[in-house]
Amino acid sequence: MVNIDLNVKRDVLDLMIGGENISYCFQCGKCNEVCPVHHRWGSRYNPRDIVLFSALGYKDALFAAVARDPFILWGCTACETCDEYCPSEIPITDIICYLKNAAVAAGATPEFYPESARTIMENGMAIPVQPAINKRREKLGIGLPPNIPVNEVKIIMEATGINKIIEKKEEKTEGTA
Amino acid sequence: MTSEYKLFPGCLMTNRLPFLEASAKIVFDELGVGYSSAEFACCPNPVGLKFVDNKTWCALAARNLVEAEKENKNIMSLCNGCAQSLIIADHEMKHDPILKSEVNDILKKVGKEYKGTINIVHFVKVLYEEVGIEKIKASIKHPLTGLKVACHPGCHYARPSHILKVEEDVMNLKYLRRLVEATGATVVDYEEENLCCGNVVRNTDPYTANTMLKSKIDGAKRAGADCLAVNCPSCFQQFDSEQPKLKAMAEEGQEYKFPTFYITELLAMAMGKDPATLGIKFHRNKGKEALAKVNL
Repeated sequence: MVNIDLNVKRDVLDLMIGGENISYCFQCGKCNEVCPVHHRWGSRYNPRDIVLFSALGYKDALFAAVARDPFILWGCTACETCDEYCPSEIPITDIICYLKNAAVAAGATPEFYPESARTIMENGMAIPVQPAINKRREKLGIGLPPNIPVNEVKIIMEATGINKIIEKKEEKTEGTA
Repeated sequence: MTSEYKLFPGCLMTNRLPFLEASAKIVFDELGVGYSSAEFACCPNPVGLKFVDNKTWCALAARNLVEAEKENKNIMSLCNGCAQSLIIADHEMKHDPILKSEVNDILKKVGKEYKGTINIVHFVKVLYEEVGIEKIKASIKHPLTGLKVACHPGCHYARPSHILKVEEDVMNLKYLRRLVEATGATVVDYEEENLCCGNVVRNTDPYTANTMLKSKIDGAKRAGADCLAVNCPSCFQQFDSEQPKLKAMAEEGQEYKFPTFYITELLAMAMGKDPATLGIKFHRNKGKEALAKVNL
């Protein structure tokens, strides 16, 4: 018996249908054909399977595989080549992004991602201001960077509840990725 | 004359690669492209925070858009990722009223409201479409004649094409090529031009990223290029900083010391600016041999 997650099924079909056209994946495999990561790894990273499993709502099966090997999902380099070539105009990278969001919430993420979110929460930027670089900026004649509204960033991230998701990971960094 | 833009350099350029920002500002000043700064935060990273939580990503992007809406000015991005994040967030909110109202509920807490009244544009598009190649050619004082350049426009400059609508043919991009040609340099074709630099997958698996980086460099070398030209700081960093990591997978006799320049660096040098004032010395790979070819 395969467990079907109806929420995932609905969300993924919703992404597929999009705004103007009703599109549907017929498993032609063009996404795999043009994917540079699939070229290097074959079945270990397989966007066609990701689209199929998620559209069917096979979340448990997919995430069990991701738990064994995060690369199955996180191998996507987000180059969006598959999106350009898909004859059904399925937003494959958006589906993968949706699944990555779910994977982060479930703790199945390379540590880089929650870590990067925490950096943004604390500094307002993914790459914080550095005193040595500021000196270099002045030497180059472009002055110091504008003020960063760190407080507003923090308020927004608390309002969406992401602070809880990324904090939770901090306590159990072991065992991820 | 072009109108003034709110400049969005992005955090990688601002806080790690300021010499790229400096070269862009030199080029804009020379060509009369107006710009000013604003209190922008992280774009946020379309291949970082967007993967963690799409709604948070969208709300933070909307906050940035509001900063420009306050002044009724369009945003000009110096980075593929920032341009892509801001354009897609704007597009998503314009096509999804529920998302827009959810985001605005969040923005209320910081006294802001997203309306969707401004545009976001990548600087390459501004240079090509607004300034124009003729005007750029007229500003060239030191043509880079003889320099062979492999172009790398980067994934998030133009994809997804139905949203970004940057150029007509997304798999055969020409703006960066025309800008390189305007410097007097020669563009060389190579098969891997549309291949990803590998930056994103580096966070998951550096080995995969290195194989992609290697394919790019090998392709550019095979085509006889002296250097790469890029218009994205993430791609720049991948090419300029990560090549030493290819040592372990290099074939015998192969070295990975292939130089990379930002398109605004090439333009500024062709406009007669000294590589030293531009900060080429801050590159990991200073491209001395390539620059010597054009007496720089």
